[in-house]
Amino acid sequence: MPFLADGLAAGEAVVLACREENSALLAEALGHDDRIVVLPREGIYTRTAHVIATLRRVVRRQLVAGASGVRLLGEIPVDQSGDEWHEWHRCEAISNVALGPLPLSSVCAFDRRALSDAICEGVEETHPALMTPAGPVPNHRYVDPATVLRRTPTTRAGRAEDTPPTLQLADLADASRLPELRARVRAALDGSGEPGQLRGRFAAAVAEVLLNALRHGRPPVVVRLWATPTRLECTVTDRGDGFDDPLAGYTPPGNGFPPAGAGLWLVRQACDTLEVFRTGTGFAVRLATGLPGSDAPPTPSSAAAPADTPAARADRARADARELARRLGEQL
Amino acid sequence: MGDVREAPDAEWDGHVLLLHRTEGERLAGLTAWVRRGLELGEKIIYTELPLMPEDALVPVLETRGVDVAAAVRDGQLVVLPPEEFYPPEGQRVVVEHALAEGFASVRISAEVRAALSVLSPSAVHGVEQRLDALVGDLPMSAMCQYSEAATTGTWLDDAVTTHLAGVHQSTFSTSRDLDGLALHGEVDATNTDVFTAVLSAASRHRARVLWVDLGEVSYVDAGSCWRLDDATRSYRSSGGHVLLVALQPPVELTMRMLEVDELPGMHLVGGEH
Repeated sequence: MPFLADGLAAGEAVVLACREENSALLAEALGHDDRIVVLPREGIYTRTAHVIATLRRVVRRQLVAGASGVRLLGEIPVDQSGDEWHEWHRCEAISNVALGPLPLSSVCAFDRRALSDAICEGVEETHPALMTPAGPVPNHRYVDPATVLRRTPTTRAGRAEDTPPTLQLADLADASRLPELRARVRAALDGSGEPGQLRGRFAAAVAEVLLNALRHGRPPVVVRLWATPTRLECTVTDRGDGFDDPLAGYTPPGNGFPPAGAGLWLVRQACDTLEVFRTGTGFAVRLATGLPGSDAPPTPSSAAAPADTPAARADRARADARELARRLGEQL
Repeated sequence: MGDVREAPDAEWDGHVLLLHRTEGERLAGLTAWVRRGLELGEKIIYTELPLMPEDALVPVLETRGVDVAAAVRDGQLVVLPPEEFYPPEGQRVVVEHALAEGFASVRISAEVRAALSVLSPSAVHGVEQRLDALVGDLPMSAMCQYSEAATTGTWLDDAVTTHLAGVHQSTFSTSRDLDGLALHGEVDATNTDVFTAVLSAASRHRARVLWVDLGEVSYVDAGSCWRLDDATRSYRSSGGHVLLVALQPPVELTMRMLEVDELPGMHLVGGEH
């Protein structure tokens, strides 16, 4: 409470991403201040890239609204099964780097009684300070995020690589073929059913990794794509040395030409997992995205009203834009 | 309602910049441009450097299935030497002479190499600027053919500025829109320099609001989102607003993931309910 109350007193906004009942209690204790933002934690803590993108957006909006900074209290929904915990362990480490430049102070709240010793150790090594009844104190067990990422497995079960790929593009070396190659990837993904948005995101991620391989790798580049009803997976290999930065794509792109990291920044958000590793002959990037089961209920996007055609949507956008242009013109 | 193009082939009308990577791309664009002129009954005036006979315009068109024998015989299609195509008194004379023959409209085209055989680079830029004004004044179209590899830096900026609503690259093009500028195709590393030059030029021409219709753009890569920011930053920082209108869902999703919508003065209007 003092951490949050002090923030409000200093002109900062407060963001709560806790269990619903806890957020409600905190908001009440803080007097329902207008500068308190309550986020549904199940909608935030889905994947690391999503957590980072969402918090960056929330912080910027609070700054635009006049806050001098943001104080966040979050309760990560800890699933103690192996793969899930490894993902959140990595997320905690990455957050230190990806959110570090923002005027954001955050406290991650965990109930030690409900966690195994191994998980408690993982939590401790990813937080540079620990909150005590007397306030925050430096954490001497904190470990550099890159070190945490290098020793934390990203491997997921269920790889498709032992089966024939849905699409293979071999002997690639010419970046001028990108439009044609993208079309072939899209066609392979489009033919494998709904949901279209997940497949579109995955296609965009594959395109960025392919561009990186053609631009920075050593030919020949090979793309192998697997599209099954439950999973999309792709490996892009080249003969180069690749890169060794476990944080690549988690920090915002630089301002150079071309902007370093813009592609991986997108890829991290567009698919579930991105793994990079050296092979016997070069470098490989593996992307994967899980798909909802075929008996899952339709998503809001796939259940959109059939009357909302692309043309109708575009016409509506143009009408909205004309109104916006008129209002902006009046501000002269 | 935003797009004023009347027919698919109307993309070859007005002041067109054909940026070609290969001779095949150039000839495909040139053939479509000539076909459009023939369909409209326009006078077509072309110039080219001295070539091997089989590489000259007329045999090339015939190889590509365009029957121009009658047009050549009737004077509808003429090929002038560069000295006559670029007379000292300017191309208005060439166009007005053709109109005086009784044609309702005229179209002219040349490769920039042909222009540079009789003009200095700065004179070519002057000709392009005057031609842009001429296309607005007279019933005519003009297509200027530039090699993409040789058109970079300020040369690209100048070329795009004088053909802002008629840029044709193999996977990306522009057209005039009732409310501003419309882009078409796919934007990626192969054409992001052209995309950037278009946005830079467009923002230099707008006072307060720059309307960019993206309804026919099906793909934008991450690097190009960053270039979009860079190309319009100066304009936006001086109070301008960029409206990115009618984005297709994948394009809008990419731009939001790259935080384009968070940039000051940048507005994504995608038409969601």
